[in-house]
Amino acid sequence: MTTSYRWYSMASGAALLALWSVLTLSGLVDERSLPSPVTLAQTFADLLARGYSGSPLWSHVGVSIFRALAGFSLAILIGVPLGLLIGRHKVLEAVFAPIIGFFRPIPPIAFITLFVFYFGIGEGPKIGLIFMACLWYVVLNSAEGVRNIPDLIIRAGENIGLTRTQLFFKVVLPAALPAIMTAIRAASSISWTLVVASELIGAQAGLGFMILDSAQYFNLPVTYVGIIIIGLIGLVWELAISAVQRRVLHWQGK
Amino acid sequence: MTEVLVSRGLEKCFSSPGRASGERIKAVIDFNLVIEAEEIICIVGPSGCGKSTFLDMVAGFTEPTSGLLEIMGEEINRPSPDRGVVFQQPVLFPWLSVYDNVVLGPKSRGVKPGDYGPEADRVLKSVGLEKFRDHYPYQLSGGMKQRAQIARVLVAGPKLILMDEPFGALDAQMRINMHELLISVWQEYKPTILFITHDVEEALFLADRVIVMSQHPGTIARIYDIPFERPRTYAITADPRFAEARAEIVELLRAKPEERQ
Repeated sequence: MTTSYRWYSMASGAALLALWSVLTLSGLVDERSLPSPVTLAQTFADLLARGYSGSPLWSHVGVSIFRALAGFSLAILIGVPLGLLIGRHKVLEAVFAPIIGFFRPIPPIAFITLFVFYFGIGEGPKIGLIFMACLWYVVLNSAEGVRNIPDLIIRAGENIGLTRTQLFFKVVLPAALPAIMTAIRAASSISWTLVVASELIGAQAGLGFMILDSAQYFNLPVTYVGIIIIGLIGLVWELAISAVQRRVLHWQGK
Repeated sequence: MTEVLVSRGLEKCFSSPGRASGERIKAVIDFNLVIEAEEIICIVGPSGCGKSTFLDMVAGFTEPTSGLLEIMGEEINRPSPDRGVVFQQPVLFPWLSVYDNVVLGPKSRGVKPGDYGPEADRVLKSVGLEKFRDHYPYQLSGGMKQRAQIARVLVAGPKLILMDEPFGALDAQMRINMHELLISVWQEYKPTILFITHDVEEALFLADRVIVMSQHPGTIARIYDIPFERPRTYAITADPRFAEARAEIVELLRAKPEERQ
């Protein structure tokens, strides 16, 4: 975004904050249904000092980040190699296409109860759910990335004398990297979205647990603070991944 | 003279999806050619005459249907840096610098850095890219990308260099620069070159022999010996013999009325 347009973005953000402050602080909107920014700041300070439901705030944040990262990382570790192989071998593609085709359109949240039935209410079902939802994206995007590699680039690799293994690691993998990075970005946002959903069931800690539990006791300021923390972490994570992507893939699209 | 490439009775057929089963299109038939060491051979012909099909077989990208195709007495059955290809499109690895593009081949074959390093520096200097070794392909002009491809091929010390309309996408001025570069590279390394083009002047300027191909069937219509001394300069394009040869080849390339559709 150019500098001139950045002012519009800052202005719209400031306007939203101002509107919220005016509505809540003037009493136009009841504090009990929409807490003011001041209340949220106090609640945040309170959560920092005394924690929530017997655990410090950072441990709720830490637990959620751990679950999201665990599911996400597993999906990358298994999904990228699997996707690359599927993209390169027609037989594997034929084997996996119906399986992926069936499972992918099912919203992952539909599996929550099954996962609890099979894996209990520990970390297993939460990480498993995130893993499964990310996996399809990673596999499909990686496979697509390999299929879209121009034939000529492969020929150039064969022509300079690369063996099949070298061709895979030195040509196919880097050529598919932009698609893999796209998959990683999508998976990271999916994992963060799903961590909240997964913590709605049988969790005793985590940001998802915090917002659900506080809302049940009509403690809306805590719910709002939880939602804002989730949003900010998601934003930072997204920016970090884009920065890595720009650095690693400086050659992309040029 | 050493025979670098021998093609005898070479034939390539493709099965075509649109036609009745069993019916096959003959892309190249009865292709007989011997290329000797240090020769520059240019193949000209209308598009679809099978000249690229021939080059793909020599490169080892596709297999002949029948006939003999040998490089230095060995049957060609797979791609190899022995027969380095300069592609028409600027096919470099975009994630590697110019230098890394050039050395990827030797490095992967287990050549020691002490051996490929100086060789890479030498070929980059020969093609005028020594100052651009750390640039990435996206930072290069079209002409520079083709120079990088030539360097990538030269570094392997190929038996035969295959050039598939390498300057076809460049503008006229750049094409002239590249012709002069190729001539100077030839003076330095004396490689054997098989060059495909549809530009008759380009072929006459570069080649020791110009092979004119005909279409339907794709085979050699005629071979012209080009008598100009090396090193050549653009002055030869003003030579009456140049104009004469060009007129003759252009006439030969023009489709016969009964073949026009």
